[in-house]
Amino acid sequence: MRLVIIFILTVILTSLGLVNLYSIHQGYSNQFYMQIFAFFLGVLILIFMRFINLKRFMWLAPFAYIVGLITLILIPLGMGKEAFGATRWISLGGFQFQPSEFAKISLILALATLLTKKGNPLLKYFYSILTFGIYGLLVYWQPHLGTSLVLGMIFISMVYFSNLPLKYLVVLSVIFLLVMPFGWFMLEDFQKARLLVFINPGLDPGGLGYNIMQSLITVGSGGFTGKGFMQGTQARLGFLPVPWSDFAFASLMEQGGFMLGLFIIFSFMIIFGLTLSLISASLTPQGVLLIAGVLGMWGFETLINIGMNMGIAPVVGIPLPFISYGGSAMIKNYLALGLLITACSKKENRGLWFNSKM
Amino acid sequence: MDIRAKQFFALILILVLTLLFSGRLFYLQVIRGEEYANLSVRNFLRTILVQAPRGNIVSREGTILAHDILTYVIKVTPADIKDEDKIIELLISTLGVTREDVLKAINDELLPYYYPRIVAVDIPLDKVLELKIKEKEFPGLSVEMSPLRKYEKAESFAHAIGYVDEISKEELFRLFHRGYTSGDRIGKTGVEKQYEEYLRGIKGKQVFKVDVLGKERFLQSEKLPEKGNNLVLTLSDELQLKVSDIIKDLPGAAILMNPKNGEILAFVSNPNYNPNYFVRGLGQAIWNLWMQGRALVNRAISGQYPPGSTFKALVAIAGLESGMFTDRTVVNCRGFLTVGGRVFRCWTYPRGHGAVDMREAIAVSCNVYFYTLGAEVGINKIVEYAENLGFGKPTGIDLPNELQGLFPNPQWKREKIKERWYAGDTANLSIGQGYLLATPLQMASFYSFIANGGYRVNPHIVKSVRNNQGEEIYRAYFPPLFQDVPLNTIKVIKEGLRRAVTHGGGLSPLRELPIEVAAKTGTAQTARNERPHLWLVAYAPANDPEVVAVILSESSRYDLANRLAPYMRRVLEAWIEYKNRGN
Repeated sequence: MRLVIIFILTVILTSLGLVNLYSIHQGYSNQFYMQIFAFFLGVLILIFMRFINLKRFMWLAPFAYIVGLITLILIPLGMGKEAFGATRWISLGGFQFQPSEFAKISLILALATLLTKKGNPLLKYFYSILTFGIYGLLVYWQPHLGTSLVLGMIFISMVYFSNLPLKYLVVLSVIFLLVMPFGWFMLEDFQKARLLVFINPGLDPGGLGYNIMQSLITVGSGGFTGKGFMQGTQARLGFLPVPWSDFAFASLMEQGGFMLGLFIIFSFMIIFGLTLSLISASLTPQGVLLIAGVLGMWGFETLINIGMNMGIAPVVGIPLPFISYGGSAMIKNYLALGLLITACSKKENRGLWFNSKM
Repeated sequence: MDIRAKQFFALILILVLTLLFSGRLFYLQVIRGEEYANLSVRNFLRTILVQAPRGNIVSREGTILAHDILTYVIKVTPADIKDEDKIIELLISTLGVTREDVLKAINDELLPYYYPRIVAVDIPLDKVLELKIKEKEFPGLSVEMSPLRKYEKAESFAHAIGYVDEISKEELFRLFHRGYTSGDRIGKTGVEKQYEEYLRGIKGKQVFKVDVLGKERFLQSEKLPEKGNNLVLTLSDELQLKVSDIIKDLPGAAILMNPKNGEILAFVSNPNYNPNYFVRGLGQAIWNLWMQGRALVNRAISGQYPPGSTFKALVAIAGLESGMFTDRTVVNCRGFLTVGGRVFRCWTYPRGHGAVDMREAIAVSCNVYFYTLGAEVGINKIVEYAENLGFGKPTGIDLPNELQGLFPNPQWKREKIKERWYAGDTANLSIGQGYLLATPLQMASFYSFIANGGYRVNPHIVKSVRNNQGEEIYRAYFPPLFQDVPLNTIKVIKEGLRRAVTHGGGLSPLRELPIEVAAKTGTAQTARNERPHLWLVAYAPANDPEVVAVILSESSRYDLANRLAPYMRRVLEAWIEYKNRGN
């Protein structure tokens, strides 16, 4: 039942994303069709996963991780396609896909497998850090700070809900805080600029601060009732950057106003609350971790995306789950929903699960 | 920690973040919604004001003297510029403008960045073609049509009409509430300034809906500009040209005025300038030339000179009106008079005029007569009449920058010079010398009063204003002000002035005219060894004057005012010719 509610809400959010695409392009567009195509592909995967036995599914985890690794490595090797100053896409048979999106899923699978293994917890912890760290750094070098942060959040969420001692996380956080000042020097100039501008949007009105200001204007000008469907001047006339993707939320706020905004925020709240409650419904530790990973991923993406649309989070280029345009992200999100379903599958043989020799 | 507790903390986090986001959304959309809505409107609506064509200025005959013509102009729009240096280089190489000029236009911070700014006007057609095809290649550059002021017979009418030029920062701050924007044209002087409100028209307005790149997506609304109203001057095109030609070698001023209604028929200040240069750009050489000759000074209203003997008419009026003298009172001129221990000479010194009465004294301009008269009447009476008849006060002509001249009195002298008023001062004043200063227009105005038999008229230069449907929306009408000076008194003065032509020396050229002329000369000494300012004031016909003419020769190359008589003869000939054509 909870899964059904989650599914219905995601379909509603996906529809809102489509409404946004329709309004931006004043009618049907390639993006609109691509998004519908990705949606159906996602639902197909979902149905397929409904019938999957998690045990049979889990042996794929290391394999998925390695495939993810290869695609991420291919990008710096020159097979990537550059856009917006970063190389994030791979072209495959006419379709482009974003390996980093699928890397999120492979990381969830890999960590779920790793963290439920028996053995020295510290060693397990070390291997998990390594597993996440390799992905994180590869994505970071694309460069895609946002996605590496999402990967980090997946890692934190999964470790949190694993049976590893929480002090490990605390120690890691302390180390991270100590290293952060040095990390600053590792950031690309534009990433530094984004963070600085986030702290003070007035810093650079023609550049990145401009985006933040325009996003605030877009959201704010929607007012209580919104400007009406297809009446969003900020998004349509190009003042709002990427209104189909990173700033889709703002574009919807401009047209739909405060009530629609509350609806979206509360929809996400219900999705996350229900997902959280699924953790105790899952009968297996791996299932628990899969749910934790998905929750961490969605939760962080939503937090950062809506946050940056409303000027309370830095602009780091993270799409809003289900609503933002993007085929890879769409499929990834329904794949993640599929993970929730398999994680709660009653058909699962608990005994086999623990004896899994992966 | 058990899994329930972990879930609980995660749930708290989710709820807190939901609350935070809802609150932020409420703040942005509900609390500050209106403010952001205004900002979004400002984002996408661009209002561009379209210059209105200025009204025409025509002479009383209807000849066009100033009008707008459509010319090609080059504009740059900073918001659209991709490569500023490339555009500047292009403009420098094709039009020969300077980098400073282009940068000044581009960086005009008083205009919105999306506002097109004019960098060059009146572009010849070959350059228009050359630049038009480059508009695509150089975003931000545009070749457009725009009205440009053009002055016909420009030099002759310069001082009356004035000119328009780009609005200055100071004017803009003063007048922005009346709809001026930086880069607008505004009347700087002459009737262009005085009648700015009538002439400027109403700007058009184009509201564009634009995208973030400033590309004009579509015209949301448009209001066409309305042409300004047209001025009809009192100036006669024919007379103005002739008079300015006649006195072209005399730095100074000449005015022809109708004494019955104050209409000015010719209004010349010499040297003059070409106002078209202000519109199309002014070279340093021309500017230096103008500065050297003080060509921009309108001597007819801003030049102040001692009136010399032309002032004697006023002293005569004061003498008759105060009852101190009658027209038959005779003074014996021995060539000089001692006043307050100082010797004051007549201009004929060492010879004298002998016994002269008032008419004769005016006719021969006897100084001794007027020293005596002035001393008898006293300074206070002279001051009273002079002030009533407009000395020391602007005439109120409808032109900017009119100066008021100077009429001294004992109180003035105490305050400014810190000296008491001596009898010698009164003597000097009685022959129009000393501290006294008057503008040529004040003189024309005073002699109109005499000519029309005792009425003060309001000199004016604009006859009417017509809108573009031809309806008259303004007409100059000034009821003549009767002055309490009896006709008998005026008659004596007029007889004296007529005698100056018939019997006086040196004005014989005026006798050759087919109509009777009355006139008065004035030679104003400024300082020793400096050239005098010469006056010649005349009206005609002597019995019922229809025209008053004033010629002032500034720092004249002649030593005596009667040397202006040939000039006056030609001026009056021109007027007679004009009159005989039925005007």
